[in-house]
Amino acid sequence: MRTLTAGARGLGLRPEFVDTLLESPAVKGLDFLEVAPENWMQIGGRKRDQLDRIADRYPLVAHGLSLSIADTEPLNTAFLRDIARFLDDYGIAIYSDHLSAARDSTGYLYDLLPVPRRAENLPYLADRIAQVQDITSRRLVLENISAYHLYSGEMPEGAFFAELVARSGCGILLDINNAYVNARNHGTDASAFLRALPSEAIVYYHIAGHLELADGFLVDTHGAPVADAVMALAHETWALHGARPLLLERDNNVPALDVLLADLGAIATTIDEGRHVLA
Amino acid sequence: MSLPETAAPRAMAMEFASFCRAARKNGSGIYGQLLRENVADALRASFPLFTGLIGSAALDAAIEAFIQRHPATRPQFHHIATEFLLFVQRQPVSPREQIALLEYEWALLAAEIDAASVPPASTEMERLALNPTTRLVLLQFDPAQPAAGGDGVDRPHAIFRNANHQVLTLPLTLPDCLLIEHLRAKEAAPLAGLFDTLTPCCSTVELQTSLTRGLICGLFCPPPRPSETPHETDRPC
Repeated sequence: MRTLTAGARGLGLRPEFVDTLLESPAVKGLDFLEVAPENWMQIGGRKRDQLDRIADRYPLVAHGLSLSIADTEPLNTAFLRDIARFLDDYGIAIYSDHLSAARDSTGYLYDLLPVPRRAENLPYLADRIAQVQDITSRRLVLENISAYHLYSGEMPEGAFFAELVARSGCGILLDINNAYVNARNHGTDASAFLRALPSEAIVYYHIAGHLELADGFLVDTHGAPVADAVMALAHETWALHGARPLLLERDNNVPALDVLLADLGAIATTIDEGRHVLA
Repeated sequence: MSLPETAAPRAMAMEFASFCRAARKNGSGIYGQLLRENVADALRASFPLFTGLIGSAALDAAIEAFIQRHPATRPQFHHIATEFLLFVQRQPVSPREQIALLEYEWALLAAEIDAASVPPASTEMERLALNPTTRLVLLQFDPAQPAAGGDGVDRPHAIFRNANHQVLTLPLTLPDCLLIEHLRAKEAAPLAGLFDTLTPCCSTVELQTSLTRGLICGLFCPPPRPSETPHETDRPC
């Protein structure tokens, strides 16, 4: 398994630029690629061939969509075993998903749904994380989602994450854009969220663009360049928690690979310059 | 060894169930919209002919019913197509031609991503197998113009992915069907004497023509090596 340095920069692997990536042995400024295991595992044909060739050239990080760690149904252990096989086959050390649910008692809903952040739910979630870590033989890394619904009387998100890490030993994938979107939409303090997180548990960062609706509501679309306000929060994140591998997410309106790489390089440079100023 | 499962706190289960019920029933809330948009995007990508044929109003109605009622068991997003097909197949009022088109597009998708490895044809092979990605379907329409509709007559076709990752739809003749049935029964058959048991039904020339065409397009291929990936794709059709 290949490890990533704190200064590593990555992109989510998209079908739009797989062929371009495969035209050269390795692209400068791109240190790793993130794949959604659900989109690549147990399939053959052209996609399998592409992934095999990509994996020969770049370290991969797995970022799942359907683990549904926080739903209230029994864990889908068959699915988890398939995930574990995929991680082993491609020598993937980091397996992340979201602190959310994707399923109710009827079935899968194919989205990242928020669950109530209450102290009494933490032991249940920690038990489930332990099961996942047991089956995959890896530390589970969980991302903070953009949540468009609040349950009444919830714990602050940062405190909830910190307590979950303490109970389960899971890692954190800190999505800086999601932190900003939640703070704007719900009138909470993004800085307080960042300060509540245990630095040592943060494994890597996501950064992305969002869409602002006419009424000011923000939607996490991964379809636009990173907003200045999110970059400012990224500076604050680096100052608080230090450098980690950084991944730029772009899933809609995907530009050409060279444009994405230029964006990624500019973001990393800006953050690095800001870090020196803050230091 | 996995740890024992614990049940969710009752209040958590009730709160989350209430939230999901609202998202399933109400398409105007943000999560209701997101669920419907995700499914619509997946269906348009997986079933371009079907979604184009039924139009946006009927598609919206089908998605609404799917989200409100369907117990999807497959977590992978690319299986939204599989789940939707299963849902439509179970509806008592689904028009037959729409289901046929949906099944055809699903078979194309399934062959494209089938986990099986397709060995390239070889001039020196001693044994012959049916391409492991093959789906056999009866089509009433011309696959070159599926949206033009059918004539009510079922015609056998094979849908498969060749060793170059191309997905092909091949109309089948009687000799094709005989060879396919023979290979399916045996999994792999020696080339020598292949026609011996089939010649009462077809001439050797007809069988040889079928075999040559099948080898060229990839319908027939060498048997997979024992170490190659087993066939794992769902098969709802």
